Amino acid sequence: MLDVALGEMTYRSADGGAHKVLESVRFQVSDGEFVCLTGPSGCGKTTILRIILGLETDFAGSVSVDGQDGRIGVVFQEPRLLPWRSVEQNVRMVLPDSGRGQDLAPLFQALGLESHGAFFPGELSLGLARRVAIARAFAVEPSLLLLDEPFVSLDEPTAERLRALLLRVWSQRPTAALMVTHNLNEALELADRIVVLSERPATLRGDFSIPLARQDRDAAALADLKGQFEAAFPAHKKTGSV
Amino acid sequence: MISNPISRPPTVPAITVLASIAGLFFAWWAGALFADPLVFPGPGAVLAVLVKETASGELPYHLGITLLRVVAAFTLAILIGSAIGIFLGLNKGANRFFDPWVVLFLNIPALVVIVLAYIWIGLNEAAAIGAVAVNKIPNVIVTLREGARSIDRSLMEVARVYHLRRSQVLFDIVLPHLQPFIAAASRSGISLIWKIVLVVELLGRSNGVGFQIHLYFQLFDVAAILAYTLGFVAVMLAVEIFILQPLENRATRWRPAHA
Repeated sequence: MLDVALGEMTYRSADGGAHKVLESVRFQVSDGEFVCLTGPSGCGKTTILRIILGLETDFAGSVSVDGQDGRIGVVFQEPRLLPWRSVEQNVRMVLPDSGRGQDLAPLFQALGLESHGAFFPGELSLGLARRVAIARAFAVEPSLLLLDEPFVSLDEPTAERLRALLLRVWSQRPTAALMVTHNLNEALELADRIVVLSERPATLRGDFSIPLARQDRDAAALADLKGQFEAAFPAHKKTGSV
Repeated sequence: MISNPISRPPTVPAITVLASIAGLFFAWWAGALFADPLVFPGPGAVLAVLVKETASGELPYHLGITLLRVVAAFTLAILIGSAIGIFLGLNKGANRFFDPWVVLFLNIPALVVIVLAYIWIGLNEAAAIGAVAVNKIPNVIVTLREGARSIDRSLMEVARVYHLRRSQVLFDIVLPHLQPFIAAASRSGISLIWKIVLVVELLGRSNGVGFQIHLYFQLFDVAAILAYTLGFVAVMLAVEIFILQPLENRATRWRPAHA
């Protein structure tokens, strides 16, 4: 499980100005729970993810990840694969020493990558490269899965197929999952709960729980959920973005 | 998605290379017709000396000695220069401090280094090879420093997030990224090094191609000078075609052919 309790964080820009990025953000993600983190563009969502990953160290507050070794699997906005290593090598290299010889076939199969193991990333489409990044994140058997807008700049059918693949793989290996997105439809479709942040500097606006089972979220149910969400967090309706 | 294996653009056809070399020899032959054969002998005279010296074992012996020196100095320069270059590229503070040193060494004339090495270390093999390596190291440092500076930070973040070992970071991220920089340093290095090796041999060794050229200079034997030069250039061309290029093709096979 993930426990985030962040205080103020200030970022000093190149011109010397101080910009407050975070004010106060506190939330948790339980094991087996899929949470989407959402808020206006530039409000500090990615910064929170980077803090959890240990890539930002200059912040007030605390982050704790429980579970087996606190291992984190991450899918960045860009696939971030090593261009000079094959798909399989890219995934295998992140495995802990004990799991080096692990059979990756079931994971590759679940993501439709079974025939791409020997390809180099430069030979893959963006959608396929994203699948490899997802495979890499799951391969480490993480106790926390972090996703930073993993489906942006994909055409909608491809994004939809990838969301379905992600859900399938995740439901077979349920971990605490936190996904940053500004796509409200995507959040409503995937999440057990949506954590909503304010404009920068980010504070917590609230939680939006979705008790409805995922397979029951058809178009009508999603439209209904969207209405409820916009009623609960009205400011978003005006700006048109979440 | 591309489903066929990476296809490379075809290399320059052998016939073009042969025609190009034949053209050069023809120009040489035509030019020699109008010159004093002692001052500018034609290809025939030079080839005759080349064959004679090869048959007597003189040329292979001196060529071999020079090649050994080139290989030793090259290996030293690439290893030491890469280590320092990568270190400086990744450490801003150290780079700021040592940058003037690099510029200084970059601008010391090769001849000064060679003469000082012979005076300080003595007229021996260590001084000869060391002097050549010291001449080349600053160039390697500068090239590899640029390479290390341009390492993709987003990939280094992946390494941190997934707790890759230091050896993995080195062999899976840093060195593959640096490969084109190492190739560039090697290319320019090998040609620079063999030229400096000849000077080192001329000044303080009693064998090698440089020594022979010095000898034939005193004898005013231009055909022999050209024969030794030609012999060595041919060897370096073979190194380029049969060792460097295949190595590079292998190292860059991940690059899509259209990129």
